[in-house]
This record gives sequence, structure tokens and C-alpha cells, in this order.
Amino acid sequence: MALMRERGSNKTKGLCKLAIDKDMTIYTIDALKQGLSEELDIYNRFELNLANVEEIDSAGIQLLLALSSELMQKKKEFKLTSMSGVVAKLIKNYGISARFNTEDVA
Amino acid sequence: MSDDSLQIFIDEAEDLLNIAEQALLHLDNLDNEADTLDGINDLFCTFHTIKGAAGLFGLDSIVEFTHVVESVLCKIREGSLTVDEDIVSLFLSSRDHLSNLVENAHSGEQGISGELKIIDDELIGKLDDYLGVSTADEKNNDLTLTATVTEKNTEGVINENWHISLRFGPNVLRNGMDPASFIGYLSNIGELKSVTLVSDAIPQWNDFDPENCYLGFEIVLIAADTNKEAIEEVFEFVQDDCRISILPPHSHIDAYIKMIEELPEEDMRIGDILVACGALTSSEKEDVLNTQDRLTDKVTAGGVEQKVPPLGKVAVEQQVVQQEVVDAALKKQNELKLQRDNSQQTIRVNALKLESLLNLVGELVIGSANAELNARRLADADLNEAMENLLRLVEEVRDTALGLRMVQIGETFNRYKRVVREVSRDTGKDIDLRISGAETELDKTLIEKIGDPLMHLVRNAIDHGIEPSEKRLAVGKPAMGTVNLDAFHDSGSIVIQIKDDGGGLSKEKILNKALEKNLIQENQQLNDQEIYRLIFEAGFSTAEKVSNLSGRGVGMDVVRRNIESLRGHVEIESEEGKGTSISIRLPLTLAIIDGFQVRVGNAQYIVPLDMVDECIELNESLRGKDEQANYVNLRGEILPFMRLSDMFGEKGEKGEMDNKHRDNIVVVKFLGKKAGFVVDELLGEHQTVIKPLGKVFQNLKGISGATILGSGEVAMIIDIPAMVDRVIKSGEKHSILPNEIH
Amino acid sequence: MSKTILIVDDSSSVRSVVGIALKGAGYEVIEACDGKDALSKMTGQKIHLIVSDVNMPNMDGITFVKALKKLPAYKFTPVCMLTTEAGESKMQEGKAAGAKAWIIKPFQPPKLLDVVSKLVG
Repeated sequence: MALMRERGSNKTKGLCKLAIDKDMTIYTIDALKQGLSEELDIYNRFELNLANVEEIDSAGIQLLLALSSELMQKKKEFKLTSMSGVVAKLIKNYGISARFNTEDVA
Repeated sequence: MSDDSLQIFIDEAEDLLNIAEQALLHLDNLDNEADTLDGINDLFCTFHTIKGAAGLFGLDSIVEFTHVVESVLCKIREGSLTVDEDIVSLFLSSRDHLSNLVENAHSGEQGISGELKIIDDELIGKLDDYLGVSTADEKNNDLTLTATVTEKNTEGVINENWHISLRFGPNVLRNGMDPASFIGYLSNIGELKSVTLVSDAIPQWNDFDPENCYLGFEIVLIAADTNKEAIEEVFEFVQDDCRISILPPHSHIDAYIKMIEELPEEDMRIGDILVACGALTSSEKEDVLNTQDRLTDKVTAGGVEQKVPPLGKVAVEQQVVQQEVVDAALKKQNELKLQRDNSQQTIRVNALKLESLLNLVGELVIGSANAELNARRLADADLNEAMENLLRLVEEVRDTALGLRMVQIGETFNRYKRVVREVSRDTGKDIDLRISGAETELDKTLIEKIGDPLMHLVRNAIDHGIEPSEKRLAVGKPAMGTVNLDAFHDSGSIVIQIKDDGGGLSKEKILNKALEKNLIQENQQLNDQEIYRLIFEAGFSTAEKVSNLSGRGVGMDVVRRNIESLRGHVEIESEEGKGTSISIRLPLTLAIIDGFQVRVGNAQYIVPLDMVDECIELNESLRGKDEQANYVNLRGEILPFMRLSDMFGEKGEKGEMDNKHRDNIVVVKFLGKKAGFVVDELLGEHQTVIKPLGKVFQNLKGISGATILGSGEVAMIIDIPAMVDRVIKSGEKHSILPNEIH
Repeated sequence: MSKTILIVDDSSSVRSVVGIALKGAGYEVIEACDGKDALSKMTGQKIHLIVSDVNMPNMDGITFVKALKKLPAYKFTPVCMLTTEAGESKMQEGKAAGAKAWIIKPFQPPKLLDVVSKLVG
């Protein structure tokens, strides 16, 4: 598990590009939330790349939902730029695709 | 269920029964309480383990019997029963009886009968006396449900599907339970029409504990043939930690009211969710909410400030439940019956019996060839026709008999998963083992013998092949290395392939090492295959660092020898930086092959038929004018050939080109390489029962075995792979240039 | 990526049958013969589910689960206990220790696969 700031993040523009890889499950969720919390106040726009997530469970989904509503409440932008198959599958199974702003990635 | 496992069970049960016997024999001094209790504990554990294992095999008679013994032992352990001589002797007879039951199961019997049954009943009766129950009562308890048929609800909702409402408790995720798995599992029961995630309970980010579960779901399930019990069972592991409501199709509207009230969210919100997921129609929702409002009004009007009591007619729901429970019980009974019918489709056979059958089939094949020869000599049409029929049947018998020994390679492959995990742990490399062709069948003996060499190759691929993660990332490969294990049939052989995406073999390193170890001479010209093959030489190892897994320089040559002793061959392909692929090519079976019979001088030889590509006549147009040339131009390709007469020192008939004799070339193909053998006569197909060569002849080059012909003569089986190599090598000495070919 | 299951049972035939059934269904299987052995085999690799017997020599199932829940890497790993119908008290003890799922012995492989798929998908 790791939360990484990707290239392209820009403090003056307020854009934060983040990526999570490998594990997005109960085992790592606490650390992920802590990592995300550190960024939330600094930036205005968030892009999250989940292309390298290999495992996700309901804790992972719950974190995304909590993050999404937190940012919406603070009127900040939140976008999922890409997601791996396992993430897409669980989001689809849970019928919550519409709750996220996703970028169409071919 | 595999026979192997049953055998393990039988062996294990025998061991445990011995322990039980020892424990019982030590119960001689009942005054020593501590010793006695120890003995009883040992007994309990043995019976308990046997019971558990027997259950896995569906050995009901053992389960039932051990269960009763266990119950009595339990009472002793709890202290509500004291051990006396009578009980000890009853346990001794129970142990002996259990031993018989295990024996009975070993012989493949389902259930028990005759004397065994009488003893069983008798012992259970005696044991039950200690338990203070009569067996009859206990057995009937299971199914004493009275069915009360419910009247069809008049006020049922239109929804013809199940509605499941879930609100998970905070600790569900911490307990390792993932709602996603349970919901996914529902699709085993029916079709998930819609899943609506209710996330209202997730608090603000700062108060949000990501390890807590705040999730809820409203699920619509299409499942006509299920019952409430089955759906409840799906969530049994979270029932203490989850609010669950399950509403059957066409549930009474009151049931929905009750459910909505019990849910933590706002009633209006839930109403909307239910409409959105299709559980209720809009008008039904209005109905529900209105009814509810009226009732709430009534309660508050009465001046009582209390929570609205559950409104649903509990009776209605209960009646529904009963019907479901009865259905479930009946269904379970039917399932048990089905299971029993299925378990009789395989029989266990002693391996020795099978072996002697195969030997006999081998003799049968030889005998029928002899009969055919004589029949042909007699030239009797009827006899020949009968003979042909017989031969066809013999062939079928042969194939079926060989098929009995064939097993799938999958299980062997699966064993390596563990090896891979262990090795990757020891080496710190991340490895993904991919398996394909698991269903490919090959001879059991082969599988047993190939296991270890294969294991070595897999270890080697990980240890030497796959680079450390940092190095992989540095060259742009994914950190996780991949090892592919594949098996497939290819022109009469089985190919097992181990492929890795590691660093590949370094020709330079191999050559340096080989020079250092004096395996090759300086300036020796070697092609890629020959260089790669060096790694199979004794005393060769290129790993710079010797790990405890491989790299001790022993092993690879053993691997090669093992494979060759199975008449198999190893092929290596490698690209530096990209990976290595090692293919093991094995014959389908060890016992019988289809052979092609040829004559050279006075001797007869067999070429494995699946390696014969074609037969051509050797004439001048093919060979050119050079009598001594050892290659021909086969449709524009260079085909090196060799006279078998030269090879085996037979007095051939070459050179007598003037008279009727014509040389024939048998073109064989192995690993894509072709070579020709000149023979004097082509005799046609022959079913060949391979007889191993005696010790004296084992080192004979070019011969892999012998067979007995129908006439009683012995014919040698040519080792094609070795010969092809030899022909090609001798061909290369006469450097062939394209313009030399006519 | 296939999921890894640790089976802890002192009966080698139970391990064999359970192992074959699970591997057949595409899971990776680690076998251990008691709690102690199991702990020694849990060295950081991801384990998605543990199926453990209760009565075992050296370290019984309950003690094992208690020890497990103290390991940061495995405290969230679900545990499925193999209990007997007579072991109601053991089952409660197991639940309290953190083993929330169970299979009642004797059972047959389809039942096991059913429970496993319920727990790990």
C-alpha cells in the first residue's frame, strides 16, 4: 500500500494528483486516511488514480465515499482519473458509479 | 473425492486407533485420577479427529458411531460420569468396532450391513444407556415440523422479488467480514436485481473511523425457488453484528412498514430508496408512509411520547417463516439422497492389479501380432477377417488400459504454488505463478517421476531467472515476476513448459563458466542450444551468489538425467533480459507405442510412428551425383541422412543399385529438426510393447529399447532424438553450402 | 490474483481433502497442523482466510485466534472455526476471541467451499 503524490501536482494552482497502489483494504485503510487527511486542506482540486490498486474491499469503497462527500461539502473538486479492474468491479457491484466524478479513460 | 485422500484417511485412522488402544490399555489403574483423565482426553481426541475426517468423506456410519462414543467421553470429561471397568471394556469394543468400520469403508462399502450393523446397534445401545437417551427419540427430533399453510396475503405488494435490507455494525470489517463477499454470494441463490448502497451513516471526515463499518444496503433479489432460511444463512456470520430484514415476494405491506420503521434513516428517505430499487411502487410507498403517519398521529394524540410500536402483524410473518422452514428441511433431505447416489461412480483399484493388467495387455498385443502373422500365412479369408476384428479390439483394449493410468497434471502443478510462495518468501521476490493446461493427462508413473525435476526447474526459474524487484523496476518490468507452467500435447508427446519473464540466460556467463570448469575447450564453436545445454552439465552453476535453494551446482544435471531416463528431452529458449523458457518433452506413456517397422540387412528396427514424417525413395535425382553425400535435397530443404546399416554395423544392401533393390529413406522429425535414415525395406506399422534393455545394453547409443515381434524375433527401437542429433552433427562436418545442392 | 487460505488442522486427511477442494476452486492453500505451526508459517504474506480446527495439540484453535488478533499483519484476517455440534461453548469462546465464522463438523467439501466463498468471494 502506498499513497503517492504524482507528478503534475501544483500548489499554486491548487491541484493535487494522488495515486493509491496495491492494497485498499481494511489492512491499510487507516494509513490511507491519514495520508489523505494531510493533503485535504492544502489543495482545492483532487485527482485520484486507482489504476494500480490490486485489492479493494468495502473499507476501501467506504473511504472513497467519505472522501467524496467531505470534498463536496467543502466545495472542492474530486475526480477519479482511472481505476483498476477490481475497483471498477466493486463500484459497479455496489451501484455507486454515479456518485463519483470519473474521467473517461479509454 | 480422490482415492489418495481416502488412503490418507485410512492410514491416519489406523494410527489414531492404535493410539486409542494404547490409551485404553493404560487405563488399568482407575484410582489414579490424573492418569485416567489423560487417557480419556487422548481417547476423546482420537475419536473426535476420526469423526471429523470421516465426515469429509461422507462416511456416515463412522460419523454416527464416533459421535455417540464422543458424547459418552464428553460426559466423563465434564465429570458427570465416572470411569469403571465396564466403560473401559465398552470403549475397547467400540475401538475394535470402529476399526472394522474403517476397514469396511476402505473396501469401498457404502453404509453397513449384516453382522457389522448388528454390533453397531448393540454398541450404540449400550453407549446410549450412559447418555440416558433413547436413540429413537434423538433421531426423530430433526424433522418434527408441522406445516401450517399460510393463506395468500390479500394486501401483498406487487414486488415479486425478495427484498433484503442490511445495516452493518461497526465491527464487521475489523472482524474480517466484507459485506461485498456476502452480497456477491447472494448471486449463488438468485439474481441480484439491484443493490443500493446506503451510506448515510458515514460521518464527517474528521469523525470518520475508516476501520468502522457504516454501510447499509437495500437489495432486490430475484429468486423464485429460495426460502427465507437460505437467505438468512448467507448472513449467519454477521447476524450478531448486522441489522437484517428479509421480506419475501409479495410481502404484506405491514412488513414493509415495520422494516422502514426499524431502519435508522429517515422514513421518507428509505421510502425513496425502496422505490428507486424497485421494492415498492410509488403508490405503495405513499400507502406505507400514510398508514404510518396515521398510526403515529394516533399514538402522539394519545399523549404518549414513545417510539411507535412495531406495526406488522407478527403472526403474518411467522406463518410465512414456518412454510419456508418446512420447505428447507425437505430440500435438505433430498440433497442428502443425491449425494449418496453420486458417490458410487468411482472404484478404488490396487495399483499392482492395474500393473499386471497392463502387462497382460502388452502380452496380448504381442500374442495377437503372432496370430496375425500365422493367419496371413494360411491365407484363409475368413480367418483373416476374424483376425482383423480381433486386432481392432485388442487395439481398443490397449488404449483403454493405458487410459486407466492417465491422470491430470493439475494436481502436481498445484503443489508448486506452495513451493513458489516459499521460495519467493525466502528470496524476497514477488512471484505470480500462472498455470495452464492443468487438465492435460499423462501416465501416472511419468507424473510421479517428473515431479522432482520439475520442482527443481521451477525453483531455479525463481531463484536464478527472476531478478530482484528493484532490478526489474529499473529495466521497466513489473515488480512482480511471472512464472508460467503449462502442459500440452504436441505430436505424440506431452510438453511441459516452465517460462519466466526474468533476466534470461547470459551466453557469455555460461561460456566463461564452462571454460572455467573445463566443460568446453577454448575456441570451441557452439550454437545457442548447445550453450544453453551446458547448464545441464554436472558441476555447472552460474549463480554468483549461492543461495540455500539452488545454485549448488548439483541438480540441473540430475534433472536432465531424470528426464532422459523417461525418454524425455529438455529444450531451452532464452532471450537475455526477457526471460527463459524450458520445455520438457515426454512420451505419452512408458509402456506401448505405435511403431514403424523397418528392415536393415537381416535385422528389424522400430521407429516410433509419431516421429515418422514421411518415407521417400532414395534415387539419383534426390541425391545428386555424389555417392558419398550424406544429405539430399528434399523439396529445396537440406535433409541430412545416415545409413542405418553403417550405424549399426549391419550388412546393408547398398551399392547394388543395378538390380531391383532400392534404398528408402525414412524421414523423421524431432523438435522441428528433420533427418533421414536409409533402410532396406519398409515393413509398416507395428504395435510395439517396449521392453527395457538389460543392463549390458543400457549404454547402447541410438537404441532406446527393444520389442518382441509377432514372429518371436527381437527388434530394436531406435532412439530418434539421439539419432537425429547425431545425423545432423555428422552432416555439419561436411560444411554444406547451398550451391552444392542440385 | 488468487486468494490464500490457511488451513489449520491436526488431521492430515482433513488437510488433504480441504486442500484439494480449495485448490480445485482456485485458492492457494497453506497447511498447518496446529496453532503453533500456523503462527510459524504466517510470516507476512497476505492471508485472506484462516480455517482452523478447535481441538489441536500444542496450541488449540482458541489460543491461536487470540494470538492472531494481536498480530498487526493478521488482526483483520477472518477466521472460520471448525467446531462440533456439541461445542456450543467453544463456539462462543471462539467468537469472543474473534473467529466470527464457523463450520460444524462433520462437513463435506461443498459446504466448506460454500462458506469460503461467502467469506472471501
